[in-house]
Amino acid sequence: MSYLGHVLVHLRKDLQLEWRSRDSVNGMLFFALLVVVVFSLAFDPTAAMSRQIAGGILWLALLFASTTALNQAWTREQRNRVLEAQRMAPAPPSALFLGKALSNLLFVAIVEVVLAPLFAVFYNLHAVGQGWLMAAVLPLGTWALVCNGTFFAALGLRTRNRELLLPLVLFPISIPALLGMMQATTAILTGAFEPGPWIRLLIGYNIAFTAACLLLFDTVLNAE
Amino acid sequence: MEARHLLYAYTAVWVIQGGYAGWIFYQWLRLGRNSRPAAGANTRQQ
Amino acid sequence: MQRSRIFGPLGLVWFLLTLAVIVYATRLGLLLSPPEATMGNVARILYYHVPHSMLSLVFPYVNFGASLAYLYRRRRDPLKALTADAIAISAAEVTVVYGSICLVTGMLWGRVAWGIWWTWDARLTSMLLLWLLYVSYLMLRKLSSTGQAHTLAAVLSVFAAIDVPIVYMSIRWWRTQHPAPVFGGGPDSGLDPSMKPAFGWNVLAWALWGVFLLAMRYALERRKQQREQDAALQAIEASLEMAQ
Repeated sequence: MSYLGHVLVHLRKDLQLEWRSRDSVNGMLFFALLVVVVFSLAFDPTAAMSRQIAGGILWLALLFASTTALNQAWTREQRNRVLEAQRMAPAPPSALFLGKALSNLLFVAIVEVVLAPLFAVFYNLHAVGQGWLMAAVLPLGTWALVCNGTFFAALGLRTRNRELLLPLVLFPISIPALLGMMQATTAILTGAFEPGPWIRLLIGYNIAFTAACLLLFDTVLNAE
Repeated sequence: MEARHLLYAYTAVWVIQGGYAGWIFYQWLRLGRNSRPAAGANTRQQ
Repeated sequence: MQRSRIFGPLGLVWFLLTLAVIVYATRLGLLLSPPEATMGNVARILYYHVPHSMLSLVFPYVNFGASLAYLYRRRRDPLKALTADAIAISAAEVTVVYGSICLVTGMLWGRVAWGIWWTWDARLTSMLLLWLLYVSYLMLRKLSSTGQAHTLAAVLSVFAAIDVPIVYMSIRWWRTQHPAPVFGGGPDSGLDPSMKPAFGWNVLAWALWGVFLLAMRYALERRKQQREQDAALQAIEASLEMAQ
């Protein structure tokens, strides 16, 4: 089977497993919604202020929501010692990683699709800048979070306190990407400055770290 | 200007550096004291 | 159990030499160099602050190099790989120590010079992020089970090394787009010649001390590794004993 074939098999497996219970997606959705509500209470923004902070709040909500779901993605592999079987299988390990990361991307994308209109409603948002650029920022930003998130969740698989470890390790590494997605979104919403450099930063970040994740996943999976 | 900030800064440096070095030394001594028997002590020659 | 050569005569000589240089440099900085024109005596904080900041940017590379060496040697020569791993954790801890001092002394300096404890300017934010990255490295080591901790941490170290230039660039862009108060150019921009000796000697002093810390921590880690290996070997031998 080709590499792409392997990836698609893993992707299908994760999608099917998730579809049966829909735990992750539901949990993420509700969690993101709660974060949005709590932030509104915290800041109680005026219309003008909303546009300045909505970008940050959106990505924070997505960051926290996806962190809760990322650990679960790997727990699936640990039941029935599936992970040992994966290690012994001749398929390339990075295909396992890529399939899982893509499935996580889809789940977070579903959350975004539901969350974004809600956001526009709660904060009375309309984009002053080029709104269509959000179609570039959303996938780029989500991939930055999900790619590293899936990798670090695998890193913490056999550690104690697994749920604690993921945010501790993921957040520092993701800060440039977070800055990029938040700044780009704010730029699009307020129209006050150019989102271009930030989108380029996101692209560069994604290329660098996707390559790193694909190359190093084998090492992590077989870290004894 | 507040000269005490100078004192705080220098003290902080000595405390942090000295504290870290002291911690390493303390750990070193602790490992030395609990010396385990050399490897091979558990086996018997047949 | 062989006595570590690190704590032998060479170690002692290095330690005493380093202490002497630190005392000399501190004396130069505190007493002999002239007080700064605008800030007076408080500017002497910078004699400690700047060398620590410069050095805290060097040790991450040591950690990165050691992590790469570990990953390379892991399957080829496991015993040598452990040496590389010991260097990696030592360098990470020393980075955090020097970074902490940079942040603390920087905040005290900023409080006096600019009246604020902190500002999210490019340099400070980058420094804080570097510190966060290496603290997360140490947390990963602490929370991982033994046997894996080395490899996982080495992988994280590679990620951190890729991240550091990206962090630097992104924070600089951020601050170019949204200017905020800056904590000055620092004394390296326009250092008065009369201050250079104190400055230079402090850099040397803390570099020597950093190497000393690295070596001490390395020796400690090696000792820990030996203990682990001995314990593992004993467990194996005990099980063999029972099998007989």
